[in-house]
Amino acid sequence: MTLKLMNNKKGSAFLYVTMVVFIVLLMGGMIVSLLTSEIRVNKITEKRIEAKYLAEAGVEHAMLGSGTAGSAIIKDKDGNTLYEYTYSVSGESINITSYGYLDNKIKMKIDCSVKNDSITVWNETPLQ
Amino acid sequence: MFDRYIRNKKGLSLVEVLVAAALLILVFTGFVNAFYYSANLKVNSQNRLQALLKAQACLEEIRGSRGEESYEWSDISELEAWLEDEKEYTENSAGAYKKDNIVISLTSPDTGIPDKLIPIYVEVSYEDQMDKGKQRSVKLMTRLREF
Repeated sequence: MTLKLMNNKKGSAFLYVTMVVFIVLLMGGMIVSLLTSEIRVNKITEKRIEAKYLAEAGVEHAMLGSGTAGSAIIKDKDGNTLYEYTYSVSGESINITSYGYLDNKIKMKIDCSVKNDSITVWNETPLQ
Repeated sequence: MFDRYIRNKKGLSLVEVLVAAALLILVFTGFVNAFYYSANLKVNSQNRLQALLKAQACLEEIRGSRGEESYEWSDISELEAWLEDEKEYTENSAGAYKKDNIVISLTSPDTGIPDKLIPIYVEVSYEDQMDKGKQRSVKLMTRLREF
């Protein structure tokens, strides 16, 4: 039965074409997947840069604060949260935590300490 | 065995070849279209990221020129003068500063922001690969204290 099937050459071109199509689709899928993964990485990088500068705006805003501690959530004119900060003063240092928002979600956290207008500690944490 | 397959032309009927050719054309056309589309998407994404990095460099230059060490500006009027005189930006009718594909705006529509906190919007435009000739832009926003 198997021998009979092997000797029957009808449909062999179709078989070859199916194999070629399969290989082409496989290669194509791999290339497209590589391209889209690069696009995804670029998108994440963009979001992080945007959120980082919003969080830095929070640090700058906090440094204008008065008193020994404070916090604020800053929104744009449409009500979307831009950044949020908290600060506390201990001795000559100001400890600041600031969050950068995108689409109303926290995307970047900055923890820093400032002494005499100079940054002594700076930690950036990207958040999902 | 493979040689025997190649020599045996019995299976290559006209219908079979036509179906095979049609299938190949269909698959290759779809593949080429998908490849072209995703390649354009990738170039677009790269252009967008390049524009964003340019905006970032611009913001860093503004921040780096503030204050005591490399003193160029300490308040908004000095920053405006620095942009026009030193960096050769020109002020447009909307009060923003423009050079090449970069637009810097120092005013914010948001309220409740202290006067000593300068809003800085840097917008960099780039050409959209998916829609040739159309300009798109990326925008970075931060705020810097007056010194």
